[in-house]
Amino acid sequence: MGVFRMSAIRDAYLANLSQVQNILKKLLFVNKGIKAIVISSFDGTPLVSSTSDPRSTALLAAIAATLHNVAEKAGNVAGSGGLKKIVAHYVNDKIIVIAVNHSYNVLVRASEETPLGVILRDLFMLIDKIHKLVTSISR
Amino acid sequence: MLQAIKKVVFLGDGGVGKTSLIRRFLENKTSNEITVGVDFRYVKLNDTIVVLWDFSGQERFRALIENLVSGASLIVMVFDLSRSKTFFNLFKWAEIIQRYLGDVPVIIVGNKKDLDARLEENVLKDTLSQLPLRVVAYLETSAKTGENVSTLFSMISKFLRTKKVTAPIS
Repeated sequence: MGVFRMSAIRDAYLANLSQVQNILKKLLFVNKGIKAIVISSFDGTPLVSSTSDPRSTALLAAIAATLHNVAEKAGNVAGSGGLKKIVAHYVNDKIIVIAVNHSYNVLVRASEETPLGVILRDLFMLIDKIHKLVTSISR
Repeated sequence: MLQAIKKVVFLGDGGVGKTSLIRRFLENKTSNEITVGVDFRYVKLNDTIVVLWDFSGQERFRALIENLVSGASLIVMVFDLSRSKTFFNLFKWAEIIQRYLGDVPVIIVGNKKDLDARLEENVLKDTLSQLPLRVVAYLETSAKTGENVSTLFSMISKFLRTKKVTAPIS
């Protein structure tokens, strides 16, 4: 019985994971400016990634946690209120981190030419679609 | 499918050689610069994917550590064998670990062995036994000469795979 329950939980987890990965793949197909999406917990543990490269996934998850933590601290010190999103512009890329409901971070690495508004629109649509699935994965 | 990624956190006072230990292992170099906030390095130890979180030991970055240490599989706490203050400050680091991580395993590393300034054996043992931590191993290293650096990372790798190490404190 216990084994059955464990395997049922594992199957549900894998099914959710696979659904989220499919949604990420579709988004990357539609928006060619997006290079990578990593969904991670606040401690930097990757949950789902659009890339199969473990190095880039691990480092982007760590970056998301660090950026989020520093930006949140800065907001607290400055009295600016809660953190909504972080946008960092680089020569080639932009990196966007959105903390969702105090439960996980979504990091997007996109080419610098891609309009920010388009990325944000796609990102919020993505979060709407995956929120329940990711919440169940991160538990 | 994501492979399991382990988080190993390096803590200890500023200037004890945390970054140098990592750089000696990864690049065969040491570091003379202070770490600003946190740095992270990716390493594959045998088949285990590990992200090494190298936190600044400076007091002004302490708030950053508190939120980011969670989720660690193993802590490496480093002190400078030639500065006893950094050894006794392990108690301060232990408080942070207890408060934010709980019962996480810890490897204690006395670095700068090349300087030949050693703590008295009984002081070392007594103090280590009083640390309110799950200390799984103690090791003396020199990032400058490379002594025991690969042993440290073998220990980390072995611990992450088996939850046991070969050199526990007697």
